[in-house]
Amino acid sequence: MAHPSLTAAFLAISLLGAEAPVQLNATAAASIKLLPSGGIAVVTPLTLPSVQLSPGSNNVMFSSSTPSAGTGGGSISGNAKLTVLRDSSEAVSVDVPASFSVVQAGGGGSLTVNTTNKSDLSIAGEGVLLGGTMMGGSATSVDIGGSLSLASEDHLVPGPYDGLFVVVVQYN
Amino acid sequence: MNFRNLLIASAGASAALMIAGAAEAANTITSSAGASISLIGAISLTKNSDLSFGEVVIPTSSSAVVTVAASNGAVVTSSDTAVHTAGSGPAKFTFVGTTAGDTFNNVSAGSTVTLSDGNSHTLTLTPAIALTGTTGSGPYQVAGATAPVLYVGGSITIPTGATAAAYTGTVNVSLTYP
Repeated sequence: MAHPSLTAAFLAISLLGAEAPVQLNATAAASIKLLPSGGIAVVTPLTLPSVQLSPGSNNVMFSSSTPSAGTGGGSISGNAKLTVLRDSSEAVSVDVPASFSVVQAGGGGSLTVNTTNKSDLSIAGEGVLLGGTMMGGSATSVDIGGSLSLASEDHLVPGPYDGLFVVVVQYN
Repeated sequence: MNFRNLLIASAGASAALMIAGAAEAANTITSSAGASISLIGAISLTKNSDLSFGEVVIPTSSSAVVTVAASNGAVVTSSDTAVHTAGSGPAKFTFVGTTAGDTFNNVSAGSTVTLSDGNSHTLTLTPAIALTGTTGSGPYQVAGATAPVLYVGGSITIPTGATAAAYTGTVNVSLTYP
């Protein structure tokens, strides 16, 4: 029979020999950069002047950037003015459609409006703006005008025409 | 531990040795006892990369959750307005000193980590971990000769009114072995 004191000693030795888990630690950095939300604010829409076609006249051309004399009154003609918001450190490109349709309110027909842009914006094919005064600014105003050709007044239905065009700003 | 008992045991052992020594001249008694030791190889973690969420546009309509998957680094945002740009990836730690069959447990990257822009603005990161080269789900066992790799991803909730800035923090990972 083991002596009680010896038993205690062996138990103590056994406890001392038990494996204790080793804790291992390491660290890493975590980061995120929040960018201000960009956006496009429509300051003014593109408003084409009202025109009156005289019977027997030929094509009538007008441009909202240099509007022809309107006769219908109402809205003041002018370019669409958009404000593009962006972090000044980021480059952006603006995609403006080369043309869009306006539809007569009563469903009488549609016309095609060709867009024009400020000359100080470099423009690639299909109206994609690649540079110009807007680059590097935190907020930039972009003017978009339009023109249409009334090729055949025989098919025109008098009345207001409305339409939408989509401007896409890409953050690079 | 009872020190009194230990002292008594020590005295008893000495007495036994003296008796054995006295008897040695007349007779030799030989006995043996096994001795063993279990050497545990030192394991360490080497950090290979930090956790980065890259650049994220502050959401405009409602708060958004940005997640970097620990397993593959994929980035997901819960809102279309919280646009994520390039530059993200999970933290990566490679185990050093492991051999096949080694075990470890209690792998953790903490419950939350505070990221700060240094100007009293903070974001809360909820870490998530992923392991490769192991089997089991705790304790983990090293599957083979290839060293296991620990990845840490996570998610951050970005409120609409967040301040645009660079936020940083420290992820602490820990584990126990064997």
